Amino acid sequence: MAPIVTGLLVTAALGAFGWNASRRLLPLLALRREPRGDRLGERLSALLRFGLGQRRLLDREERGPGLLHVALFAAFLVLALRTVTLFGMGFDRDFHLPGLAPESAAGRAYLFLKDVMVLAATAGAAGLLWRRVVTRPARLTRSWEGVLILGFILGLMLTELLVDGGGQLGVAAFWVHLLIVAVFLNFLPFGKHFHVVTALPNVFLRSLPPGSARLRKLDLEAEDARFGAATIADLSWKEGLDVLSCTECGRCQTHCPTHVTGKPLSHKAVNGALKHHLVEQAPALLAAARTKDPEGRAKALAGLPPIAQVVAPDAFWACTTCGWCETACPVLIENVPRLVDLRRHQVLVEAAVPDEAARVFKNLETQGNPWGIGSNKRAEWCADLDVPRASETRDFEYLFFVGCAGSYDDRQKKVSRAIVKLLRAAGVKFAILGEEETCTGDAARRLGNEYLFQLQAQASVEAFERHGVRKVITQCPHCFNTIRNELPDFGGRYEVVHHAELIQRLVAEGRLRPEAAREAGPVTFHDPCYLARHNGVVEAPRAALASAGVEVVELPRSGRTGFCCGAGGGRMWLEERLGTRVNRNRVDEIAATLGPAGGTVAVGCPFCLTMLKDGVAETERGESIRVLDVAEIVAERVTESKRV
Amino acid sequence: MANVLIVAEHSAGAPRKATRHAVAAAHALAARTGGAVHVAVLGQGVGPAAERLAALGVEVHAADAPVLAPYLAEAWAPVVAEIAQRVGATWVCAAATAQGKDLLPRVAARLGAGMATDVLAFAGEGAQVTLQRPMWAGNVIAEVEITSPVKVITLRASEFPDAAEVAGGKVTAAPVAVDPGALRTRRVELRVVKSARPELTEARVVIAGGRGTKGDFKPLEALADALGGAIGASRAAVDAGWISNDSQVGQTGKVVAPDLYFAVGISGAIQHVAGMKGAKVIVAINKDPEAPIFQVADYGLVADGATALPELVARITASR
Repeated sequence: MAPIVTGLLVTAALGAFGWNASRRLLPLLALRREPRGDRLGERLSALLRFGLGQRRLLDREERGPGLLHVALFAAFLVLALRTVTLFGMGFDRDFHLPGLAPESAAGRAYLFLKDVMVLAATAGAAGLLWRRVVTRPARLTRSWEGVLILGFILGLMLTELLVDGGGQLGVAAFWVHLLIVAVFLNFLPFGKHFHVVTALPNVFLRSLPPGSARLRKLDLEAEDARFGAATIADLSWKEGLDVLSCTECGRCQTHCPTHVTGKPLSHKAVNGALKHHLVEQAPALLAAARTKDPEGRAKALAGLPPIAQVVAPDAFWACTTCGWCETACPVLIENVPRLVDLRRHQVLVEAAVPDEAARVFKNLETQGNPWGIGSNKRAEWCADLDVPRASETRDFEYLFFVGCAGSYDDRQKKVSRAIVKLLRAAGVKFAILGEEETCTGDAARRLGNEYLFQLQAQASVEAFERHGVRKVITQCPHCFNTIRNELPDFGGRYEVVHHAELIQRLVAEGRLRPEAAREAGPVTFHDPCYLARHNGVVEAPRAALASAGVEVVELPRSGRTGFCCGAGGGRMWLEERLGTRVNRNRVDEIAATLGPAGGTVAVGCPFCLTMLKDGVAETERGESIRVLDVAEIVAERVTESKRV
Repeated sequence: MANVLIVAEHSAGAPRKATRHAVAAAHALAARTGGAVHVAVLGQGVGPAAERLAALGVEVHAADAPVLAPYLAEAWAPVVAEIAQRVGATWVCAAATAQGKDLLPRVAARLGAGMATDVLAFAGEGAQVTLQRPMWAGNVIAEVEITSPVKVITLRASEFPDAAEVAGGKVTAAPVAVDPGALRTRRVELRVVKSARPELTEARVVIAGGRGTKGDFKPLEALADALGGAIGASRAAVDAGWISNDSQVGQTGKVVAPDLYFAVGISGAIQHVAGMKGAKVIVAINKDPEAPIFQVADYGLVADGATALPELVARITASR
């Protein structure tokens, strides 16, 4: 049609886009190095599943808007060819892509598909516009940007249809269409719609395995060691790409225990703040990325402000690391490792430790448990049970890692004893470490004290190796996660089972035969985050309860969408001063599910047990709601006489 | 010459004890840097306080204006900064009290000065003064140096001696150029918690109540008065709003180690026990004989505190 005009338009659009996009992306080169070139098969499968497959957008709690997005995404893929064709037609009226000549069968099929997609995209954009302007769900931040982009899309679809109509209107529509494409493209680098460019790479470059269940091990001995994140340059380039990919959809906060209860932490707001900070600091980061020598780099980065000025301490200390945000994010943004890195800098460099946390650290250092009770009293819970010690016998299959709560907390000791009863009834050969056991350090690590965590992790691996441990039973999902996912970084690789999994297995093998008996009232199950979300163990506790004849009435927020009790990420040890209490929010939900007569809430974690028990007592429901561990419920239905 | 300026705190015409200790610290600092010690006194009707500070042998700058009473960091900071510049202060200090910690960061910002908080002692050599301050909740003492020309610090008063009275002090008036209309903060209310009882963490006897008290702390207070003890509480009692949260004893509250600890209507969950297990003698009073508190108690009484405590108080009173 007009080769010169089209040529100028294409050159200007691509040139400006290339320049602006590189101004966004090149600063990432100055951030912390982290290799992401491994496990190509898994990466490709993630790209297909979460990227092209849009898996997370189809999650049940957001399926409506998710489908609208899928329609837009599919239309973009199909119409990309059409856009190339239209620009080609700007040079030569008869241009078509190879194999897609308009009169050929394939060409006609494509044009038909294209028309279907135009309708799908129109419906999708109109639906999303309706949400933005009329229904306005809470998770969306109202912005002119979102509306403008949807306007662009509707404009593209309308002009697309008019082009086919031909005539003068068609010619006008053709040029308007090309112009919108050029403007749209150049708008991307300046807003949250940059995710159109970065989302697929972001999914492909994901953390494998996910970083929040296995936090990055800091090299504390290195000459140039960095202790967490002091400035934006201490985040990894992938964490930078994460924040550039955030579309502020807000799925991360729907079930976020801190956001829901009014704490000053919103992951999408953190992402937004960091994104603006990245843009603001781009000159310094670009200068650092350009220099090769460490000194020049350090000089370029010297002026970066502390990252704690961008993300407030109240925000990063609020996180319970429950992982909901990462389960919900359609583009696999990781928030927890980043927040822990902020805590690490506060704790390891600034010594800005919350008072309560300082106490926990000291207790862990001196006694190996958070309460500071004598380490010599660790095995008192089973003084009358004659439980074998790993130091006394090699004849055991499983090490029962009791954990601090199981050893010292009077309430959780009952769970420890129930587990011993079950293991004996099923004839499982097991032993405990006794006084040699020490805290895994999960809370210390998630509270930012990597140094203390590494000492604890090394001590645990040494004790396990000393006694030839290969298989471990835990009753605490936090011990479970640390031993299973984090000890391998310290040379300890073990087969770890949570007691609920073991009960399920023993019943399936016929070694454990609980008498099926219903509880007096309804029973529900509260999923521990570090079991269900971080480790995908959802079925086992339900199966264990079912084997004892207990049917679970599901909570509205369960399994993958479970709601944290409020104690994860070390929050168990910090006073909850902001917003409302997480445990009360959960207990209200439990009470509503169980109904006015009350019933039982089953748990699988000592922290959840404490938090829910407190929540029940605080809301004066102590008479109607019982909080019991899965092991206790099953053990009540097992008689010791079945001992093999 | 490196002059030292102390920002004074005073009430009822007398300087606070913490300020006198800060003045002693300032003398030590000035002796090393070869400067003079100045003291800024701000407020309304500060004359008597200024005179008493001058008796410590320092030059007192009295900024007397209605806008400076009551204390407001926003109003005080420019006045202190102005005095600091006028006297050529290299060091600007105050006791690390609530007021000192509130005010000096603003002063430091105005002076473009580096700041160290909670200083315990001066180290280094001669005029090269370095500062010791606690880290890790006091487990580590860090030695830091402030490299900016003007240095601002808060001092932990208990680490320095009281200042002695010497001659040579004088009082001069300092100008106040603060526009009351431009202030963006105002004091709404001052609530003073008056307590005749000892500080919870330092008390020899602690009487703590939990959910079992059903919110009635009067019997506990009577016992506290009889024994000269402090009142503590479990988190449940604090959460119920029965008592202020600075009374909370436990893992996430205060850790106490008195000679005698009464746990009244407290079940004894580990999160509470962690805060009082260091007590020499633990007495548990609880209606529930199964309560875990009896596991850690030296003496246990299965009873309702509401009835048992008044009897106990009556016996104690009678025995005197």
